[in-house]
Amino acid sequence: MNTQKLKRTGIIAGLFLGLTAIISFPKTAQAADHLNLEEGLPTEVEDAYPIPYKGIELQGVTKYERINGKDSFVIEPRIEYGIAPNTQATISVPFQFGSAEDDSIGNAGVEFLHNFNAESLKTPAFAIAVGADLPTGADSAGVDPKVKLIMTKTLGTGANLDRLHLNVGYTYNSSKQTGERSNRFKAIAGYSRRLGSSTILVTDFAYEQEEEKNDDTYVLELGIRQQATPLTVWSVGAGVGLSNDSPDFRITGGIQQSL
Amino acid sequence: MKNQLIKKVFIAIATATAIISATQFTVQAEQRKSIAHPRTPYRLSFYNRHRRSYRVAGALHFAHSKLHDVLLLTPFERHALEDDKLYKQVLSHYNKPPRVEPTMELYAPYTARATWRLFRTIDAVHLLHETTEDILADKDIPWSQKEKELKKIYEYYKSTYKDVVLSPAPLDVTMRRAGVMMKPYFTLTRNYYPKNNNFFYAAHWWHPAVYESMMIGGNDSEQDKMLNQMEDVFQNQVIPNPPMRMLLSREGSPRYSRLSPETANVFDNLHMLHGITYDIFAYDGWTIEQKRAELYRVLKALGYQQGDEKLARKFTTPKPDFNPLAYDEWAKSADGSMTRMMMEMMQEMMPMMKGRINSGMSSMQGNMNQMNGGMSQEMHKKMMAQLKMKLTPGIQEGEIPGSWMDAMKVLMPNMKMSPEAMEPGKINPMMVETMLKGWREKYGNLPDIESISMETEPSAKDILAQTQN
Repeated sequence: MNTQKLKRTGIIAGLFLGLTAIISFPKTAQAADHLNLEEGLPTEVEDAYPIPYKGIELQGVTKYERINGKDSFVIEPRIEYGIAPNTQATISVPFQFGSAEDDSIGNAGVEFLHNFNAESLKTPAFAIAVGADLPTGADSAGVDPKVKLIMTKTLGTGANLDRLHLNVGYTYNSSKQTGERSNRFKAIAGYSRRLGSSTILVTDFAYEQEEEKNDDTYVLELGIRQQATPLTVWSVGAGVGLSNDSPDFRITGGIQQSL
Repeated sequence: MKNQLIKKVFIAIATATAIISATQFTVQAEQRKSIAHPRTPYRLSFYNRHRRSYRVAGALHFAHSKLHDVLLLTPFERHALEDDKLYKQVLSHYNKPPRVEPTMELYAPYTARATWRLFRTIDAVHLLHETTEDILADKDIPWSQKEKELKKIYEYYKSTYKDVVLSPAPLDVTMRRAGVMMKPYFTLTRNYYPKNNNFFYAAHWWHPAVYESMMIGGNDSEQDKMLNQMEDVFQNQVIPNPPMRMLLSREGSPRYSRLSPETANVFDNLHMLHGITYDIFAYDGWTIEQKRAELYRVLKALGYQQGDEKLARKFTTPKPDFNPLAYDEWAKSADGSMTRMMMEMMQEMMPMMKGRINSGMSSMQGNMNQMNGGMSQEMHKKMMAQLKMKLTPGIQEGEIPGSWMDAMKVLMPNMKMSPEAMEPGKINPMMVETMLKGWREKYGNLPDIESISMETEPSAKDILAQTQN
């Protein structure tokens, strides 16, 4: 077994051990919450609120993209845990398929999100997420640290919970290959609205610098989040690329289940 | 290369500034502090077994939530219009209730931002409602073990939500601690938003009725029959013709109150908190910041104090064999424990009120006046009659407009109000102590109400048979 494969296996084993440890934690659970926006469920934007303290949530994110005539499927299981008051930890392991890239495990991720405050009449809610992408993907090397600033602000005094969400993220490419960027930025402006007691509409505009130099994507997305039971939320969305480097279109689907 | 470096430095400074600014703001701001529900074996038993009642609770929570924002965001002068408009929405939600119970924030986003602590408090007690309902609904918990599980979940609530936990002391005690009767907002909602107020009186009949139906039904299929029939009574009788008072747990769920007085009292304290909150929000004389200050004072007053468990059983049950399937005149009446409590509190406060005493009176008249806190018998009678009207939903013939304080000012224009009464966030501690002293004198030595035996599962056969007849 070569060194790369060994490293990848070790990292994934470590993540699953972490997952097992989390699942064995004390007996608390929380209804998955359709109001709490999560990355990729169904759009890129997330809000400034973590899952509740001691909550455990399993998430399954699926994404299909058509990129320059080729198909890309990603299935990403995640586990989130309310590790401290106003703070959550997330472990994710994406699996990639399709003609756009080799079938493989992508870069696993670890992230901690901390919310600083409940939104007040004058002050938005703020959060910071710090994490890292781990080199479990084929051809990947080095741990890439990342940080994201998140803001959520309710708009006006209407009854429909109209909210603006801003995400600004930075990733450092620690083992830059030829033709790759050292530093990557991402900026997302999103909006959400309550459509009914169990349904939230989400839309966003996402700008992202890709790993390859000069590749920048611009995607416009729309989706809904539906609280199906007290413990389950499902989401579905679609997006369209607005530049040559962007995917032609994107379809997302996901499910969140509280344990 | 230089440009890249400048760009990186700029971004680093911008990011640091943003983080520091956020931190500075957020030091002052409230914390979200959501906590996950306990993962228990009986989790969602009520949802799985009694879906109809679960969804009714969702409709009631919609109503509770929405009224907050309506009161804060619409002027008082439009009260009749807004009361009618919201009531129609409430009925619509009742007729097609949500599939999943909404949190308070979902329908009252302005209130969530203005007074987040309030919603944390309410959502925490709603968790206690859900878990206690789950315990009673779960067939796998033997009847004889229900009390133990209820005690455990009460302790979990108390320890997990330390900073927002409501008191297990009876409402008689906590209302006196809150001292809201001498505030300028008291009675506004019941007098000027009677449709929604009365819907909440119906809701506060419903919630004790859920517990009592399960207590009467036992663990077997009689529990399902009791709950279904109770829902029929709620739909066909209680909503069209709601009670004219807020029923307390001791009235609407006497068996449950004896089984778990701590949680029963917490529920009463929550139901009263709803009413006080709506009154504060309806009052046009304060800014939102002042309303928050007053509300947070009330939250503290209704909150847990060391030793409150010793008071948990200090009440009696007016109808120990209450039948939630028989919606009678007693349940509908404006007279009950709540009204008695308010009248007692008024009597306790009267000696503190300073009014003009007629200098030409005889010494006997003067002595009698002293007994009535320095006011004449006639004035005393007028005050109590006016209070009775104020405590009744809507506006009655002969009722003075405005809040209870407005009415008192008309009746006794020379009465000197305590300065703390008009100040949001403040209360006259002497007034509170006077009322608590009054409670101790009347009820301090009341024997603790006995628990209820759970050794044998009850049978609802007779009650169900009565209803079928």
